[in-house]
Amino acid sequence: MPNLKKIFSKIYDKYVAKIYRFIFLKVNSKEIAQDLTSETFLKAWKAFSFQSSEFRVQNPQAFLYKIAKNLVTDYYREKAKIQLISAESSPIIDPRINLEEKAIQNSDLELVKKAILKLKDEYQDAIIWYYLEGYSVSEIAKILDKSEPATRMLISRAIKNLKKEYDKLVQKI
Amino acid sequence: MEKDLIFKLKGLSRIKPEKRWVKRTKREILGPQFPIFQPILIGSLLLLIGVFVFAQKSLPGEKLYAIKKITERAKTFFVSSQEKPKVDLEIAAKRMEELRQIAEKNDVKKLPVAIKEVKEVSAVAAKSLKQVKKPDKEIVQKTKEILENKTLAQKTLGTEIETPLDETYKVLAENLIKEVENSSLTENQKEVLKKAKEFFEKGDFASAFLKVVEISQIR
Repeated sequence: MPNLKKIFSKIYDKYVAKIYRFIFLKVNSKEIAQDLTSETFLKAWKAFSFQSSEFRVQNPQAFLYKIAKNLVTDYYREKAKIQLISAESSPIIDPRINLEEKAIQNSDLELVKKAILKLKDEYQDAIIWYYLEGYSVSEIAKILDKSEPATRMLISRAIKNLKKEYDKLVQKI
Repeated sequence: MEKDLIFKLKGLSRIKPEKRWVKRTKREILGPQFPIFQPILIGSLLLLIGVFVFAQKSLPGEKLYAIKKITERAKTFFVSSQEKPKVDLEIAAKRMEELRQIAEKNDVKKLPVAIKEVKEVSAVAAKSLKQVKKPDKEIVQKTKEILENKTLAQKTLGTEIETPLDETYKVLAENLIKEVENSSLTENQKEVLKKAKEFFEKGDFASAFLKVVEISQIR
């Protein structure tokens, strides 16, 4: 067990920032990203400490992203349910946003973040892994369980769609 | 331009979790870890063990001797009243052995401290030994060790070493001789009793005690 802890501790150190970033870009909230990241590693640790077949078959990177993706999906599913219930009582947002907030919201990075959020899941993943984390096409293909040509195609479509969404947001300013 | 967008995308790698949160979460998942303290802790523990082991070989007047005495005192603290005379006698035997070593080394500086230590622990052992009704093998063995080291130390120093234990051995030997005299003895036993009495007459009470104990082992 101490040895397993040591190994998992290294896995944690290597991937915690990447998983956090991956989740944060999908949920756009520090608190939620923290919650889902810790849940990802907790689930991974349980699987790792019991040496489950699921963990042994996949590499840690693919396994962690798989858990993170599922947790994000669950989060949005729950969120949709809550919004459906409380749609009528949703608060009225003050349209008068101050200039400082507006400047932050319209900064390049914020616009890129917003544009990513508008993409469908697999495009988001491809953008984050390929351009942000610098994974190779073959690494992404392994995580997604796709062929390399199909992955290359996905990345190409993803960046094109991101550009479209980004341009739309810029035009709105 | 896609290139511009890709450049901006790379800027998102600045998104990082807070260090404190990263550490706290790791601790929550894996439990407490002491990456820095663990080697220090193990090192300190090994050093402590080393000091204790080394202290056991120290002699009166040396720096680590106090640790040796503390360890012995701790030992007597945890033994039953039945076992206490044996442990006290064991400590007295150790002190006598130390005195013999110092005498052999002719370490004049340590000699007064060593004699003082012998007298102190002998007084404790003498008190405990008085409570013993029937001396067992261990008491006999420790008495032999004390006697052996005492004889050698006396020979080296050229002087008599008197301790409170002598008086206790006198009482024990006297009582045992009286007890044995009233029972029927074989020729061999009578011979040993005679030797015991001779030792007693000479004032060598520990030897007299050992001889009279020997009678019960002879048929």
